[in-house]
Amino acid sequence: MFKDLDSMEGDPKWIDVIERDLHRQFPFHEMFVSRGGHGQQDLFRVLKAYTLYRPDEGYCQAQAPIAAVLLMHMPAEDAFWGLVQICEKYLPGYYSAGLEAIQLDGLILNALLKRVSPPAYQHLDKHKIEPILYMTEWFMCAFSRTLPWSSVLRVWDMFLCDGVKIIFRVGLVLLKCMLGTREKLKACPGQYETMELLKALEPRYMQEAFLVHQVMEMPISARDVEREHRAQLKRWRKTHGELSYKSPPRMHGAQAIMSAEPHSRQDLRQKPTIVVEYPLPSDTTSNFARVRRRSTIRKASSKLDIPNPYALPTDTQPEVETASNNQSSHPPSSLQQSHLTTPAGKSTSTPDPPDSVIPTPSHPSQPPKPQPSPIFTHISPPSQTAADPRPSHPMEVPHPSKIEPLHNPKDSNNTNNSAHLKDPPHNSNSNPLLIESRPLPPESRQLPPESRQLPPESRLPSESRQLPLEFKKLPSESRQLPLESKQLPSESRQLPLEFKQLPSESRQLPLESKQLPPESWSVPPESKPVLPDLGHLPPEPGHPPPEPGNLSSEPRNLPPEPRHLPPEPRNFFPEPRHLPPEPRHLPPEPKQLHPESTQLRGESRALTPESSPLTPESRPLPAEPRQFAPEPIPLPPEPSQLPPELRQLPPQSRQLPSDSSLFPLPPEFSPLPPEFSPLPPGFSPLLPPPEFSPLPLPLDFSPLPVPPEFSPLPPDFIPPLPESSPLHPVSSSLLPGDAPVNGDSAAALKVLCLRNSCESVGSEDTYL
Amino acid sequence: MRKMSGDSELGCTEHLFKVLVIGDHKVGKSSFVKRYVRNQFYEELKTSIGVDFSMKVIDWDAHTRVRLQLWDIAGQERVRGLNRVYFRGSSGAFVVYDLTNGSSLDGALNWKRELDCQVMLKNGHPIPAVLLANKCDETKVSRRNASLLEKLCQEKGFTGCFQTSAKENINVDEAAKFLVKHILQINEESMKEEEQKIHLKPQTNTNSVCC
Repeated sequence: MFKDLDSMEGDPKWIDVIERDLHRQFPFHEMFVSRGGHGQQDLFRVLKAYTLYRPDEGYCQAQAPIAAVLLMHMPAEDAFWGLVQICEKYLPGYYSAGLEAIQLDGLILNALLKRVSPPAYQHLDKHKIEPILYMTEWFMCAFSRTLPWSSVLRVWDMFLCDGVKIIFRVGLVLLKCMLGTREKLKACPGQYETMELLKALEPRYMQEAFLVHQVMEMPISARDVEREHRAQLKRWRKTHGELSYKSPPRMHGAQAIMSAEPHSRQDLRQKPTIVVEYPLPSDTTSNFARVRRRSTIRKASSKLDIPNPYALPTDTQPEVETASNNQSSHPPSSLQQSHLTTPAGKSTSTPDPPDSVIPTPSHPSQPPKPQPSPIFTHISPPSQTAADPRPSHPMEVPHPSKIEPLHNPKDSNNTNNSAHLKDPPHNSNSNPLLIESRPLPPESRQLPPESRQLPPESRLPSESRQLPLEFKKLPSESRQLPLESKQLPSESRQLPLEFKQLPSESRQLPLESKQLPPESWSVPPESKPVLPDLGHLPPEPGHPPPEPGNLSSEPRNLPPEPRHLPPEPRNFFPEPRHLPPEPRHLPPEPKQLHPESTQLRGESRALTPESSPLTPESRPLPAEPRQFAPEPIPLPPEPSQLPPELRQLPPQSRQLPSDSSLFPLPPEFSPLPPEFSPLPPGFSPLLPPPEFSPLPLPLDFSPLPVPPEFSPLPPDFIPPLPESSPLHPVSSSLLPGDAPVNGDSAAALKVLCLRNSCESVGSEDTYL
Repeated sequence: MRKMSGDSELGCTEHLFKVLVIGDHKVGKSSFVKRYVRNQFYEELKTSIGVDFSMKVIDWDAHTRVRLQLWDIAGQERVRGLNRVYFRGSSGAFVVYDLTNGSSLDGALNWKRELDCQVMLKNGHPIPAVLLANKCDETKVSRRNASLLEKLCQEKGFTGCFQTSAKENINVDEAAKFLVKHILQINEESMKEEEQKIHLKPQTNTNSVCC
């Protein structure tokens, strides 16, 4: 059908308007930069086809950016059908003459704002700032011209999955952040000032991690939107009379659309552009190792782009987990064993795992950042030694369960973030593949390379105590076969994907780096504190072990660490240019951070594994170390990110700094295994699991794989912790955040896919 | 009509005016605004969707400062459903058309008509509107056409007419000055009228009241 439309002559009236708009969509995007280039040509085809498809509607200027974003991810025909779905199902009436639908949604937004942020609502009301003065472009372009590109991708992922409520939520988050407090309102005393403020949104509020986190937490469901829609429609009819344009009912999300209109249309049938090839034997991995290594490093650097938003004053929950996760993930299996042998590790390590587990949930926004797959995280805790099984175990168990909820179909429907939390499925082992693939965020690179590269048998620990924590918890059979080993096959399958995708990723990386600068602008110079991650670095092996008393809580150990910091801090950043921007993302004002110093830390860790609060830049937050006490202290640098010199450092030292300091590592362990440096073969996260594989998935409207990811885990959803674990209370408190994290990670997968597909994103124009 | 005036130090008066920039799609409204406010020109500007705002502060004379809020309104026809809201409270308007695109002149006249329907001065007169024949760097207008244009302006109730080029920075400041002058004039007149009607307030003290 598209071909027919494509071959038809368009109505000259529309052709004229469309042609004038072609070079005005993302003019700095590589695809659309050249007049008459393929991007502009495709844009014309898609928009023209739509005017022929819906001659009654014709063309609206706001459709052009929508189509352009779609075209960045898929061929013209798919983009056309994507546009059709958005115009007919997601945002019906938005682009129709009269723009009544957008006005109505403006009223809905206003009504929801009254609920979400009364001060902002009152302020807008007082100054007679009608919603359409500020939200027209937001909504009509689905924020594609408002947000930085990485946020656009995330928002679109969620939007296509969950429907218009996401758009409302984003709008509400932005309004709430910009106008939600008295201090902020004082700064914009008049109508014009306020509108200008809303035109110049503060970049920190638009940062991907922060924004997504906030959006997930925004308690606005599709039902809320519908209810408000009815109320406003009623009012509209009284004041304006009947709507002149009757739009079909709005569909809230991909699942609603798919269930209402199952694959009846051939045009919507999925035509994956990426085909997943199945498993290569483990031995093949060595060949790929080099490639992977490169890719992982780049990826690692690319991650850095994503700022950790948590430091923002609005954000209440400090986040610690990423760092801990990193740690855990790092240790190669061999290293782990060595740790196991060391007695001290258990005491210190035990607290870590829980922290890592717990905090993650609290920070859903981080998906892009390294979130080690649950498996790996489990592996990492060095303490697994038989000596102290109990504390470590609690940590492990929860992961599978966490993961499970994602698979639960219900989640996909979840309009309200909190909804699904109640009954997480508990099959931990049932679906190793799924578990691994989904939870693994791009950062999965952190996984110990050995585990993946080694054939399963090799990894199997001969002794139960050597087994990673997870295994112990596993049923007896499962213990004998470490999770990773079981999963290995799946990983290996995924590997091919990686390789295929690598080229695209590699392309992307440079682009990302390009994008960094704009973000960096926004960031205030003070934010630098994050850079020095060195504090997290493991103390030198030779170092005198801390007092046993310190072992109980890692935080205390932290202060001493700085001394231990390796001399080559600079080396940590493999790619210096990527790094600089990160620190800037930190909240501009250290003072603001102060109360939430914990958050800051979380950020720093999340940003770079190496980031340590202790480093000189971190000084602004002197109190931190103690405040963070519960947190797993050291952030082990990700192997991939570490410069070669660092890699050579004894693995244990990085992973468990405190431990290592306490117990000098045996000489054998000191040099990292060669595999360690290369990206973990399992680096699957980037590789979409089979379900996620096709980039366009969400856009395609082909059966959406994802819903679960977007639905934040239920707040209650807490990994079962053993009563014995001291951390338990903490973890429970942190739990609410948990769900979102998982969702994010899954979302991250998609995002990555999207990124892969689009070579360069016009980040610049978002800033212009 | 929005006018905010107040005394600042030494009897200096500050005015705030909302000025619309309207006209068909792609005639150069945003470019005009960018040139005027920032003295910059971009070949490729993003399509405006909804409305963009800019502010220009003019030190009109030793005693007067004018803050000009420029509302750059998306030109596509279907977006006009929102105009009612955008137009409200404006004190003046630039109506822009593209000299190289004849149909945009018709569009400009339509915009003017709509403007007059939506907004008027307190005394019922239309707000001052200046017609801008933009992109004059691309086409030369014959003298005859220029006089026709003048005539058209008067017929249609425009305050004035300028051939402008945002690209070459031709007549941009002049047109703006012209409009501001008229707005100030009208403002003064209406203040006088008010004073005559209500003898409550001493001369310079105008309250900032927005309709």
